Amino acid sequence: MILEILAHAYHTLILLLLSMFQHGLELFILKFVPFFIFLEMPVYLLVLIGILKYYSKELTPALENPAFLPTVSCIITCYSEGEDVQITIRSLCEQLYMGRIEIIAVIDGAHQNRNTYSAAQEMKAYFRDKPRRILRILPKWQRGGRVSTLNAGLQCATGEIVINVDGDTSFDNDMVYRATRQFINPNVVGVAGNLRVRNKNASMVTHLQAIEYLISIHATRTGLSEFNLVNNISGAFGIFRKAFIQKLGGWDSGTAEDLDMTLRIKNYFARHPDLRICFEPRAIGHTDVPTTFYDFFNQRLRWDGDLFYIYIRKHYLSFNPRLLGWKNMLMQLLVGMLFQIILPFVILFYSCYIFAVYPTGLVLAVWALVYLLYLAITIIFFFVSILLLSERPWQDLRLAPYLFIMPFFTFSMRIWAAIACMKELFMQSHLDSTMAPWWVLKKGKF
Amino acid sequence: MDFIYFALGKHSLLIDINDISCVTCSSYEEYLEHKTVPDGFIIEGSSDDVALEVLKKLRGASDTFLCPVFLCEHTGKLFDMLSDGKVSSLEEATVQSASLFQQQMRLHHDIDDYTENALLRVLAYLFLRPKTVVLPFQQWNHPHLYSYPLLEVLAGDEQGGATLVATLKNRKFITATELVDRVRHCPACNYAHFNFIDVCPECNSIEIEKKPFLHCFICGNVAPQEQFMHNNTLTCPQCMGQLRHIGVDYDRPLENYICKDCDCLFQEPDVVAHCQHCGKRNRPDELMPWPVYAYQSTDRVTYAVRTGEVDDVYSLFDELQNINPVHFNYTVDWLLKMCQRYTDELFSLVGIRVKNLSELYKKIGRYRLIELVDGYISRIRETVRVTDLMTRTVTDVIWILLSKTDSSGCDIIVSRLMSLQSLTIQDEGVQLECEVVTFSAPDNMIAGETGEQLLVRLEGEIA
Repeated sequence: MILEILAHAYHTLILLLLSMFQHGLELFILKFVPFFIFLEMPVYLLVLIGILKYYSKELTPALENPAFLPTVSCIITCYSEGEDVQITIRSLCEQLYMGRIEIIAVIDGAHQNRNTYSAAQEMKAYFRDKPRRILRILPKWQRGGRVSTLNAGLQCATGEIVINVDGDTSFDNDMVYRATRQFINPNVVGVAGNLRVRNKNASMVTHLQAIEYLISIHATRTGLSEFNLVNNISGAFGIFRKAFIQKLGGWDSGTAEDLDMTLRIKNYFARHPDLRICFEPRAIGHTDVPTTFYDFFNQRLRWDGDLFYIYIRKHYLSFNPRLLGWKNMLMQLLVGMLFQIILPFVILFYSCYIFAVYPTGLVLAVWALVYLLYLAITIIFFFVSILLLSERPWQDLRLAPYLFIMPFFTFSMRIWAAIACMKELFMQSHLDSTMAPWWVLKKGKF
Repeated sequence: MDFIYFALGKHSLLIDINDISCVTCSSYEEYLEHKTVPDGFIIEGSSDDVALEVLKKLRGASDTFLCPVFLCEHTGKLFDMLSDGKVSSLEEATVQSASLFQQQMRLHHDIDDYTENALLRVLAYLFLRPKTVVLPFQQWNHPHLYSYPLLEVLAGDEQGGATLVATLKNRKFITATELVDRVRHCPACNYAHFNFIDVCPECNSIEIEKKPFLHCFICGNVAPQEQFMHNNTLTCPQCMGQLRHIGVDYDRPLENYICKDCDCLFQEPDVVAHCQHCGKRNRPDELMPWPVYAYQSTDRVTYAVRTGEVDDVYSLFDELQNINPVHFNYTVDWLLKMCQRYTDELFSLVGIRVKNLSELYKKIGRYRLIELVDGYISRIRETVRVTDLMTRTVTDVIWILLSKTDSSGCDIIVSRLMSLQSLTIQDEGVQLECEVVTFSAPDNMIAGETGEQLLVRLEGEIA
């Protein structure tokens, strides 16, 4: 029975592929992938053009100003990282940056998280003879969540530039130097840092996430940045001009405070068209990602639910060209709203529909075709990243065998995103996040 | 009552009061012209330096050191130490002086006693002001970093604070109340001024430099960080690999310092304390810790001042940490019996009498005699062993019981004790002259003699 279906699927696939040549490519494309052509393709092209633009600029790098050395405050949001926080603190202390770096380790719920607190305290000795490096440890005895941790750190920060980092993220030694170069342009208010997967060798799911980070953060944001369209400044690694975010009142309550902050900055883009949010591919942080599928899907349940919460519940009024400007609004609608919230539902219902209506063999054939298409896209982006962008090309090349699993991985993530949105829609899951205690979240306005 | 009012600059006190005569002087020299000693002094006006100078002269003079001296406006540690406090009117000064006068009535010494005996001046001052706390005063340019201005001014010895404190403490006239500080002295010159320098542990050179070293994980190269730095990135000079992440691509090995003279790598430099006075380089643990205390006078001051026991030079010998003479007699008796019963038992006795104390007293005065005897005592202490017992009888003979020592061993000790005398030679050509008697058991034993009889017999030989 199964073999019959598979044989049917195979023949159908061959027919479909042959029809490309028999009836012309245009017809084939219009029949099967119009959605892809009209919506996804332009975005991919935009990103690719952006990457090429970045690459051509890098071939003849403009003179940087090495004397621009503002004081940088790094706010580390610590919770239960334990001794891992020492790696973060050490990698910040070891920056090659010649300016002053103030490292503020804010420990949320320091009462429960004694281990993390004492691990941070132990690092004080490491700073004893390090000039221009200051370690401040800020225990927040009562747990208050990420937002309160970040705002407490912002209160203490004395630097002109603020970097918010997670307690499980460590950095390349030129990170601060590279990140601060962007701020030479006075219109730059925020810089998204590049994140890599630190524990990529832990399991299959970490390898897949490493590819995902490489394509969706490293490559995509590099491309988008060229058009001032960076979609998000990650909470694990964001760099800001302190005066600007202080004007915004710091981070706002609720979950997904990183996307919230990005959108609130972007709300000034229409009124101040010169403002910029950049992505700096060479400011590199290495973060731990979930090592099991269970943890991974749990994390994405939160992330995708939070996307829905931010776009639909909290920031629906932001989708206004008089706030974001036309360019960013269209991009936000397309990439944020359509791809990340509507598309998962379309995929979910479309898949269920064709399964119900068409013979299984045909469905599998169509899917195989879709798989080949997305595999091609993934391979193109993967090699473009490695050839034009990656600073560790050989290391990244070792991920190549996992490329063949990537389309399945992406597909399952899309389906999962639909479930996450539904959970948020019906159960308001943002009120039950691990990022803050419930008694804090329930007081939020949205 | 008579007061001298030093109006050194502007003055504010109302001095025209019934029953109190008050003479105004504008300087210490003007006061000296009056040739009378008043009941008290009040100092006002002028700069702190001038006022302090007058205050020191009053406390240093034998006729006025006991008088109450009040201030009107000057404040500061030195003023607090040397004066009797602040007053705002002449009446207040008379009221505050009253108790001092009552006490002063109990002193029977005349001015000559005071002139001649610095220790007596200090004791009399402490007797009149029993609540005085003798405080150390921090002075960056003082050899010991701390001085005791009150004692130094009273004794008229500007650098002798530490010695005076030692003498007073040894004789239990003062007792430590609070530890103020702990300074370290050079073992060579006793100064407390050091420069602490980091030096190379191998060759002791001070030409050392802190150099962060990196260890490249790719090729194992270990070299100073500066060799890795290129355009704000770290590149290994050996394998040309780019080192991006601490702990992943590279690390810091332990060597942190490099000696420019001997090229040795080390993590912790040695520290030497370079004495700024004599130039000696000491290891920090060689420095002599010296606790700086604040002191309070004891009941012995009252006793000494009232009875004149200050002059009891022999009591100095209590410093030998004597045991009770009764106990000493018993021990000698017991040892004699042991020697009679067991043939392998042996011990020796040394008796010392300083025969020229009264002569020395006349020639060099009490104060120097005390110093001389203090020095002699500490040397005797170094000469004998911890297990040797000592006592001093009412007839001022020092007995030293040398356990497990035969007559030849005893002779060695005696010759050492005799050589100590030569170290006490003074500029006047005098020195401590001692007479010594020795006894060794079982060699010199007389059958049937008890311990007490033995000691009486020996004492007769040096009488």
